[in-house]
Amino acid sequence: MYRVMGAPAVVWYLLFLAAPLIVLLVVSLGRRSPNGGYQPGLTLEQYGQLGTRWTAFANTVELGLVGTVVCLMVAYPMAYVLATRGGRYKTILLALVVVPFWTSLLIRTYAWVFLLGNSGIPALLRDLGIAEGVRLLNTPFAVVLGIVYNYLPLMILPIFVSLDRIDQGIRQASKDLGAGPARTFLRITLPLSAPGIISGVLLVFVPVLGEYLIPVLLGGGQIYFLGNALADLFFQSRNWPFGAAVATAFIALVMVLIGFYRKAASRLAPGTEQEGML
Amino acid sequence: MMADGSSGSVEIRDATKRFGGVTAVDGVCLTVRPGTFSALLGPSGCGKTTLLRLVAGFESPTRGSILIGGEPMDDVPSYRRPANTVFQHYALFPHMDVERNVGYALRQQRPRIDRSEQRRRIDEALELVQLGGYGKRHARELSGGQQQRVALARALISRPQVLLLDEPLSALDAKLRHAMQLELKQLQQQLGITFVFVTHDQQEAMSMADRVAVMRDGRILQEAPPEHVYDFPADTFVADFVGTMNLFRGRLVTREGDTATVQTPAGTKLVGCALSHDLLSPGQPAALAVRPERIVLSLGAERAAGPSSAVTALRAHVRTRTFLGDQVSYQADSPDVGRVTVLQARTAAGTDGLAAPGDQVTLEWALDVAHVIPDTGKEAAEHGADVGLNPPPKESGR
Ligand SMILES: Nc1ncnc2c1ncn2[C@@H]1O[C@H](COP(=O)(O)OP(=O)(O)OP(=O)(O)O)[C@@H](O)[C@H]1O
Ligand SMILES: [Mg+2]
Repeated sequence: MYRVMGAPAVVWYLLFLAAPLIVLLVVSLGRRSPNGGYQPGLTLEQYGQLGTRWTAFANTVELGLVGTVVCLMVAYPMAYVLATRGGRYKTILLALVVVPFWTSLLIRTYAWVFLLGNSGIPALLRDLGIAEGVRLLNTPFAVVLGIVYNYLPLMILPIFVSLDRIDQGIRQASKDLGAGPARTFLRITLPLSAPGIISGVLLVFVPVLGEYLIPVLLGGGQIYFLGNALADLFFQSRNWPFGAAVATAFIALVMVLIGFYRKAASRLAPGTEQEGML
Repeated sequence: MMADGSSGSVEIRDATKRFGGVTAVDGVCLTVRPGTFSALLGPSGCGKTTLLRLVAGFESPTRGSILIGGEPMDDVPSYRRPANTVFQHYALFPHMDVERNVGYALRQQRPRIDRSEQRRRIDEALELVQLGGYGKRHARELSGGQQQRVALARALISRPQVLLLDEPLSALDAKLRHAMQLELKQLQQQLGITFVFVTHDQQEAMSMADRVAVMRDGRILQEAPPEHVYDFPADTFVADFVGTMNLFRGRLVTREGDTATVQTPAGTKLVGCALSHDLLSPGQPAALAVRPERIVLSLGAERAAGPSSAVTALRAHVRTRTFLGDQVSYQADSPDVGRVTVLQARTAAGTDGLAAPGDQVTLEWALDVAHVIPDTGKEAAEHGADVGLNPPPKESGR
């Protein structure tokens, strides 16, 4: 019975996960044919040139990390207020957090192009006499802002769930036993919400690493993510084997990062694996 | 701990707590003397938990004030009050083992307590609740009774002046509950800490407490030692809530000093002692209250005690007889007062000498065991019209 019901899952994984990865790996070992595309081969020379895409790697990881951390710092207080002060409006307020997701990512991000562009916030700052010649669009700031804005709900939701699950009595017990509000937060609330933080960080960081649209629109070609590098390799220079090598190396890097992260997380919040939060 | 005489006392001065339109605690005045075991007893929703939370500092009173150890607590947050709480569902910290749970209060103290001293006191506290060796266990690896003990050790380790317990035994099964009742009582006597214990179980309150405060609708109706509450209930609500009581309801006819007469709707006049100061005006609702074990039942129309003005005698016929082991319980119907419950000690084996259903019997009681008390309505009486039985213990699921 279970075997029959599991079959679609197995087929799915073989077809859409294992097969593409194998194709990717095979292509990465080939050569670029003279007029672009793939020529079969068995060589590691593509991996030898990975260094030429170092900036894209570095940008992706660096801005991805910064974006995730800022996202966490914005999301945690919001989730905290929702979970502890939301009262009976809790669910409504939580739904409002998700409302921006009802418009497409493209449109939401495009709106920021206008806001951050020269006739947007910089113009406003100038007219108010606050600052002259501010440049916002096409800066790392704009990219991080785009990341935080677009991925915030993914961070808020798991943190909210873990905070909401904490029994009010537990916090009261802490205060009853002599811990003030700050210490109660540090010793009780924060550790007990760690599973939410851990999964929120993962939910934001991993897709951000594959981000393509935000760097294009808000980074304006100055800030190049790996996703942009790959698009160029496949569609502009049509160097498929090198593109495949970059993609493979990147997947490997992400897996290593997640591996380290899980280790660190299970030490910080023991028992989270059993709860299936990772 | 302070050494003066008021350390460990709790004083509630005219405290009222409203939640929107609901008055959970309504003008309560209560003084708990240091080192005593007090029980707050009342049906579900009468405001026991709220009153306890006012003392703990989780709620602030709408009106009135709380003093602990003689100090006003108006502006003192819960984490600075010398009172600790044992929560109904224990509220153990799920991310800490037993040791870290128990030592929590010590780690909050400033100046810091050094590690070896903490260690010593944690072990001592675990020994106190018979959990020595369980320090490394995780809270979720413990049984309900063990979790209860951890909660107790955790609340006691910082040696609070007052320990507040909110139905701490209600999640345990009956057998464990009885064992824990004895243990708690012993612990309290051993430590000399003031215990304020909330329960809706009258048997629990009676067996453990030095003083019982019976609550209803946010007010304290009577506050006295358990024997006093049992023998001299303040009104029909208390009489009904505590133990089993025959209540013959009617109206007050006369009151002369310590005796009063009640007339039932059937016209029967019943005489009893009257202690209440609220029982003065003829015509007001009143009831004669007699405990089932104070009634003497004899077969036939013969009076056992002989004719006497100090004795009330009624004729009745037996409807049911229930065997209770050491006692026999009868339900008898009297044309004068209706249904009467009688409890008789069994002095011989078998059923010889016992009345059987259908028998005519005489019921007698002495004047001093019958009390005329104000009738405050029948809300609590969920059973027969004239017989008040204690309500079945409700599981309070909060
Ligand atoms: N936070 C609150 N908000 C609104 N109403 C409340 C709140 N806490 C208690 N109440 C109300 O106050 C009244 C007394 O509640 P409380 O919890 O003190 O009763 P209790 O005697 O402890 O009952 P139980 O035996 O069921 O625990 C109830 O009517 C309850 O609905
Ligand atoms: Mg309660």
